[in-house]
Amino acid sequence: MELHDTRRTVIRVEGLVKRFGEIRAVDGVSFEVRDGEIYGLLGPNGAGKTTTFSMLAGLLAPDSGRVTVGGVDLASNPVAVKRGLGIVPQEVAVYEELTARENLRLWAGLYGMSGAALDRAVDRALDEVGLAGRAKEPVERFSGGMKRRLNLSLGLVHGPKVVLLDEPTVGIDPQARVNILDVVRRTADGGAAVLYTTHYLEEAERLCDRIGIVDHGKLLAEGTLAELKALVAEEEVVTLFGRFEPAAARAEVERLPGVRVLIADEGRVAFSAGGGDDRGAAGLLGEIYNRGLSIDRVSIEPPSLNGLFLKLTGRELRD
Amino acid sequence: MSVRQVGLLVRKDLRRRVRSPLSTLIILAFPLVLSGIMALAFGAGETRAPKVRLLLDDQDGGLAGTLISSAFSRPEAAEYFEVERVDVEKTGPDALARLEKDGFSAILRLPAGLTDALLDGRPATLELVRNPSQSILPEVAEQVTDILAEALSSTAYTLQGPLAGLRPLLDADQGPSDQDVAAVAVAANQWASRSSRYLFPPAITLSTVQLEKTGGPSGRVAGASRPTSVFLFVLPGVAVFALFTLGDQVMRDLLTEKHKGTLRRLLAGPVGTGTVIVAKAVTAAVISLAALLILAAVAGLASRRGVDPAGFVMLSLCLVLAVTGLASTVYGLAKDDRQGSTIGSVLYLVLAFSGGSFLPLDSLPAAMRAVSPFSLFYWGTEGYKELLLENAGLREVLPNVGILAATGVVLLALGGVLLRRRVQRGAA
Repeated sequence: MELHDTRRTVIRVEGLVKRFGEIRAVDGVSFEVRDGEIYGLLGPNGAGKTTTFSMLAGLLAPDSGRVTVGGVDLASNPVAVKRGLGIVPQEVAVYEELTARENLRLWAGLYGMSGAALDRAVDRALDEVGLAGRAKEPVERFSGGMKRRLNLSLGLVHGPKVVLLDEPTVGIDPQARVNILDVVRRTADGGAAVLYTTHYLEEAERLCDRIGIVDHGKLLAEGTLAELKALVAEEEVVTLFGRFEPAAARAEVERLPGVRVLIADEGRVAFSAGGGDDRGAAGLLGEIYNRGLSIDRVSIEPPSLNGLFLKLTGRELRD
Repeated sequence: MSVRQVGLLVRKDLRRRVRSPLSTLIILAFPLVLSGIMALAFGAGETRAPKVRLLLDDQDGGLAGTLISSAFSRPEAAEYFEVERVDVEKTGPDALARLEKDGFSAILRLPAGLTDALLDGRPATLELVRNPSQSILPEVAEQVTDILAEALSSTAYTLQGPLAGLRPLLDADQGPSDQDVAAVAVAANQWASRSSRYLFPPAITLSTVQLEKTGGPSGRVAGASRPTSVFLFVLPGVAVFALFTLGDQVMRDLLTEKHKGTLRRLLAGPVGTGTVIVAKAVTAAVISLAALLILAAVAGLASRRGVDPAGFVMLSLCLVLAVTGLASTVYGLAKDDRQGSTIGSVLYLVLAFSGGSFLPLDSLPAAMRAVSPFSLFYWGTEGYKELLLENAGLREVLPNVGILAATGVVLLALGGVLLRRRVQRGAA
């Protein structure tokens, strides 16, 4: 916390709202990202992450709210702001007919680089994502993971101090994912402020210094991983799978002390346990069995972001 | 708008075209292939009518026979007729058999006593036997013979003086004096010059220039006597169509980039919407100009004659402006690249057909000819035809240049506004 407090706020988002007809895709979101920090926006598909990303990238005008980057208002001076941004979109937005080097040279050139500085930046970017050996090949011959890595490096080649990444690891192999996460970490360690949207819990837990949990366009909670876990205290999330009526199962579980039912639907009941009972989840299970619920399987999850998300939204991130 | 960014984006798009050239090459090859096929189908070389092969059975053996056979031997007629003398009385049915066997179109029989009848002003009958296995060429032979007979009849009536002077010369035992020959020669020469248009009637010339322009809205009449090739005749129209298709393809790439996400990425960077649109328009112009140069080189090789460079450059630049403007407008109106492609294909076909790019204007219905000048294809096609086939210069194609330039500027402005709106919407 102390470390973060000493850092300068680079991205400031205040009360951002975006409506599409009747739907409020982003509903009053506010957060800050500091230099050298990776801020993760975690939420399921459709939570409003990409809409938020688009507004921060200047691609979409907010209905209300304000975005400043390095103290400069995005709405009133978009070109100046965009010049300092590094953008990594969700889709692989590269020119497949060109080589990796040509792609990088193009983007570095568009951001104003030239000459030896451009050459050095391109070489560095290729090395960083492990594509130096394939730099002269047309991108259309690359694997999905290689394209993803190039997609990342195109957003970083000009050495931006603010980087926005929209789910950059979707649909790639574990090795490429590790490489991408490492590059993002190094970018932040180099002093850049990084906004990273994802729906992967483990990525957010592993990579992000602070995490904002979003759903239905709202920022539900934010903080470091430790702070967020503290919100769920020592509570474990117990999920029972079996043949029972949701309403009856809910009623039986709610009678237990210190238990809060999170989900009760066909064949599944999830509840948080541990808040007020020393026996914990294991102790409660015996009592539940005694109440005659026909249970096939039990899952006990230690305090986690998923548990927090479940507690905040009544549904799992994986749903 | 940054000129450097435009340059980078144009270079990027040109590189992409070079790396993935198939569609561009197909469009570029289209006018050459189609023109080549048309040339092969309708005559690969010069568009001359096939020669009428005529068997001449001169039973008269006098002046009339000499006049008629020499009429067919004159250079103007020899271009269209090939005459071989036969004697049907000696060869009998063999001469008739040769009609079909050797592909002769007709036998023209000059009866005995024709010269006397001509000199005396008495009626005489020429006999023409047509080849039944041919349809057009015997008809030509019959019409020409008919005209010839009419000319000879007119001669007999109108030149009785010189003809009467010929009789004693022909009948005399001794050769005529120089003075007599000169008098008859002068009279005959005057007659020949007056009747030459009957002897080499325009029907022959017209039939050989069917494909040529005989007068369009510009009011100029094509030079009927100059031989032109089918290839060169077809090429301008199809080339103009190909250019519009090429421009369409490049501008469509803007929406393809939207679809692929690269447009969104560009606009999220420090690249303005105007820069992106201008870069695409410049790319379209560069590719169209390159295509034009290639087509012009091929046309130059085929025609083996030069084209007025000022006229060609100005017309090409203005055509490229029109191509880019029209494509910008189409894709500014279209929701996505697929819709734009569909609209573009239909629109270009309609404009090409109504503008005479595929069919000669003369063969179009009157109503369609009336709307031809409203098609940009018309002004492009007619301009190139004039430069290529009429040896016209910049001055002659100035109306084409002006209309293409004005329309191009208006369409480019309109397309720019529409595309800007489309791109900004699509980027989000």
